[in-house]
Amino acid sequence: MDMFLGILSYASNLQFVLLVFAGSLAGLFVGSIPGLSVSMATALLVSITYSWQTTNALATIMGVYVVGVFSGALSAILINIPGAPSSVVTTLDGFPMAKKGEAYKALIYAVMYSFIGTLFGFLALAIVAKPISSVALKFTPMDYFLLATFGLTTVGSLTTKHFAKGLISACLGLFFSMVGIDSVMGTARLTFGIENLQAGINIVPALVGLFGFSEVLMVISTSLEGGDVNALSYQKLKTKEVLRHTPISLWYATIGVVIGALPGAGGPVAAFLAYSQAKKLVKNPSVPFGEGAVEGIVASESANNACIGGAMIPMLTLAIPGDAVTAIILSVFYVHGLQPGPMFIKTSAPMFHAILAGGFIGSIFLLILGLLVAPRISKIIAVPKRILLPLVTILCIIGSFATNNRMFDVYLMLFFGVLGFFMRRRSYSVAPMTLAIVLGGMMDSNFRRAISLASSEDAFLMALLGRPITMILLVLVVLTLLSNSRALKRFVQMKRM
Amino acid sequence: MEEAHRSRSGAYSRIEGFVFLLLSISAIVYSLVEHHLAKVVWQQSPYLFPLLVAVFLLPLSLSLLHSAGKEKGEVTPVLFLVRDTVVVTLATLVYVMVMPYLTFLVSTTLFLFGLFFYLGERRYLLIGLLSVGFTSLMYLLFGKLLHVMLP
Repeated sequence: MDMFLGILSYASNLQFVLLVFAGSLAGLFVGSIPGLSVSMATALLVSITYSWQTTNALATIMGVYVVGVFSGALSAILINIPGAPSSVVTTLDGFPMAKKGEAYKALIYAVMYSFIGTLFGFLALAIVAKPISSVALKFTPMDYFLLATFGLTTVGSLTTKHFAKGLISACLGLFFSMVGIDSVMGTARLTFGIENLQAGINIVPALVGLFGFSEVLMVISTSLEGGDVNALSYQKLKTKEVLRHTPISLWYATIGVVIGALPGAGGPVAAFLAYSQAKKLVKNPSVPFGEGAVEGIVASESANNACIGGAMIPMLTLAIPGDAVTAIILSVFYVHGLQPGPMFIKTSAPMFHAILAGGFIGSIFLLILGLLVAPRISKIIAVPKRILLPLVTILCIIGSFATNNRMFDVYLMLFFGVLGFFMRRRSYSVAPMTLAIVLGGMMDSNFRRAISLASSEDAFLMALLGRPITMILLVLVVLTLLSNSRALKRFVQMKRM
Repeated sequence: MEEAHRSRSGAYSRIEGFVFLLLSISAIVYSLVEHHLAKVVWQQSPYLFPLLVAVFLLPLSLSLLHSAGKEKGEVTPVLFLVRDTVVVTLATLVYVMVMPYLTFLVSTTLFLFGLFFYLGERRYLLIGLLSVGFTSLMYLLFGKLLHVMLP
């Protein structure tokens, strides 16, 4: 009841609703234009909303997140280039539909099932967050350390083909997170005499560099050419016909929530899994999958949008982000002095309600903007990149400068931008590094606390790893490492032969 | 052509492997030396976690070295528009360096105009308007409304 009233109080706050709307509108454009990403926009927003009230910052960011994930479908359908990574699967059927002159129909299906997926995801967050928090209250420092390690290893395994490269990216992120004055002993670490590094590496310029400037360099390094935009002409559709797939979309949304809650998996994995489920479950699609089946769009869009709520669950209850955007949102909490974790829902209930309200209101704006505005902005997708990229560069520079009003942060942003560019060119995902930069401080302090506590006991190892939750987490980490080990895979293959 | 890409990709992996191996060893040495100088027990040491990460990085860098050259089916495209990327990076660096001297308004307008032109836009009126308009908008939004102290 408290939760409902809390959400309602935000929904009746005009300023909050307007900020969600502004974020949603920005998300619609950012998500639909290839070359701009939701993570880039969120990272930039952190720097803009740095001095705002936390609820206002969250309202805007939730709007961008919810609508940005959906609007990737727009360019996926019209030009066969997903605006967001989670819309990759939507291209499989969306683009063939556009080729057949059914772009409008594909878009309406994407809007409706993104809306259903988002609502489902946030409902799951509202229901599941509290029970998970009460389990998390029993966690010890070692559990937190292992949980974060599990997050980093899964992100490392899921975001890149080469597992070692994913883990190396995470290790580099951990090194960056250790730069500055150590929080336990007050000693300067890895600063190499640079005074500006004493306060540590500011997370905002690092994120803006890794997601913003590196993206600019990536686009410049490949091609500035855009694709041909398919025509989007109005088609009369029956609501009953469009909503016919709602029951099965709830199953895809469940997949989305579960995958979203796993650190690192995120929208693209959820959409692929849901799509393969759709191929098995739907025996008689309207046309074969891959040739313009609306059932494919239903699966992809319900799952990838449900991921949003799913990714929020570990972020809010355990302070372990589910994907890059939630890692950035976690940094918003830290920037505003909030501490997500098992006590978050109890101690910061208004913030939890603000996130839920932002998500629910954002999903309503998704529906409105998707039905009314999205069909009219197809031309914007074709904005030349030679115009777009210089403007994004300026936003990256101002965004990183704005956090502390110092040029050093701009140089940091450039450093991370160039580093992110080279990493991406060489197939090192930047997601594990982002997660490691955000989680590194927490991992360091919890690890040392766990070692200190256990060393005062007689049985050191039992005190450190003897609890059931700790053992389960340790097994999960070891399994993730082993299951991705090339040597082990080769050994299993040899045994089979 | 693909073979050439593959061999270059393997060579890059080898270089990366060496770089990370060097980083790992340096971090281990750094952690041990600094811990010795800090004169605290390991449980409290600020260098315990860096040591742990550095030790973890060691086998990863060796794995990268080991797999270099065997990257079948994982050909990383090594050819890219090098000139454009380098020019844009350097131009941005120069722009950031001169910003405190030329002020935000002047340097940003010049930077935008130059970059639009370099990236191939030839409609002078459009790029002129965009450069001045966007810079002014950013100055008003950040400098005046959000009180960011732009140079």
